[in-house]
Amino acid sequence: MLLLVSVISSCAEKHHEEQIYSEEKKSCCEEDDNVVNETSGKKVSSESIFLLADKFVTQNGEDFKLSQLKGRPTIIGMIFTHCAYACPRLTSDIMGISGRLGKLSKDVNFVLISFDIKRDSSERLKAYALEMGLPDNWILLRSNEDAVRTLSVLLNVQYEELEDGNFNHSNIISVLNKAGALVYQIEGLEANNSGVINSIKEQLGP
Amino acid sequence: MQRINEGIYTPFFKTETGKPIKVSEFLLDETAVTNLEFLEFVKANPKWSRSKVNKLFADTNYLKHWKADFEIGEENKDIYESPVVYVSWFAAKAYCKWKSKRLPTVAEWELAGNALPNNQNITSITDYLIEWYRKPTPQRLPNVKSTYCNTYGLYDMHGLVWEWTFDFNSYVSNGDSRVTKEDDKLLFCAAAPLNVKDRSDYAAFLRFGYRGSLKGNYCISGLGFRCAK
Repeated sequence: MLLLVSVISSCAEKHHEEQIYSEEKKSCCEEDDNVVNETSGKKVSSESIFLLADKFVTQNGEDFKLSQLKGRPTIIGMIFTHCAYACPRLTSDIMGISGRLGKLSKDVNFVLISFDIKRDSSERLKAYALEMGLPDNWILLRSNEDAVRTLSVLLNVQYEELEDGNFNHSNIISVLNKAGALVYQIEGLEANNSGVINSIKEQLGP
Repeated sequence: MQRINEGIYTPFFKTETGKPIKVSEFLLDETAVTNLEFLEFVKANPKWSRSKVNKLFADTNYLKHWKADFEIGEENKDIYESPVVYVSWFAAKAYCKWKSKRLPTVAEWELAGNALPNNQNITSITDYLIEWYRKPTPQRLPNVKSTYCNTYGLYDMHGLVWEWTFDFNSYVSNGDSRVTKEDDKLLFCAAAPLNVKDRSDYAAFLRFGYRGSLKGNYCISGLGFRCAK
């Protein structure tokens, strides 16, 4: 029975792998995207995530649109500040990437988006940033349920709210290119981040 | 739309605290959205037509069964009142919003779908579903209301098409156990079946497994939707 279920759950995916590989290249995007999910090896869409026009709010209480990230590569993670174990680790993983990039970090957007519509207010996000010692230029965002769910779907992040208000979620670090297309993802805590580092360096150029 | 009273939904996968989820009262469309209904939406919102839609929001199978952008086709008359399929989650969501509605959550859909058929000798949804899965896919998708009506007054909750839900990507699991996950209990390995509400509910395994394999821009032949409020 278990084998059958895993065969069935992979059926929809297999069908679409063929679709994605045979899709014609659109001229929309500036760069030739090598869009690969390192873990699954599957190609992802080459369209810009900035097409999501919803309004977000930063930890400083300012309105924010994803298109404001344009022009620099972006590293994104989805978190919630109340979680006991996985979230600080995902944030630490991204801080590790920033550390490895060294002074190149200043040319990259670092963005964290919260699942926790109810509890993660701007004030709470600001406090979290201070607690975690995040650089001032990191952007922590909140929004409404629809925007956050839609973004999670665009970033291939699974999440569910538990009845105690916490969240079960996959741990994915995504890289967007300067035009906002998803170009790279790593999954899992403490995953090898070399691919991310290389992807960022490639986009920043010589 | 039909009203579904506040109820308790016991998630298929056991959660940490084991508490069932309370689902507030809501309204649900009595049938899946049909091809004709979806055509009205596309005509009113041309950016959702087949040739204009952005690939981020719908893959190349989007509405592939229609004759043209704004035409289902005379030759497809027999599916005008069938559930619209080959629509992505984004398109389904946009349709519901256009109607001042929304997609149902998994909890809402499951609660509504668990109701037994009205006036029929079916005592177990699971058995009914296994029968459905046994049958080959029909050449032409039947009309809405062609299967059963349940005690909430909802038609075809099972037996016609799979349906998009708002939080379809809430199934936090991965067949590949090399990937680190927050909660290993939910991996589909030996541990997982021990951790579900009803191990004999094979149909639910399929449904949840199916949801877990979907991406938002997928447009598939057996996947449609209905709206909630």
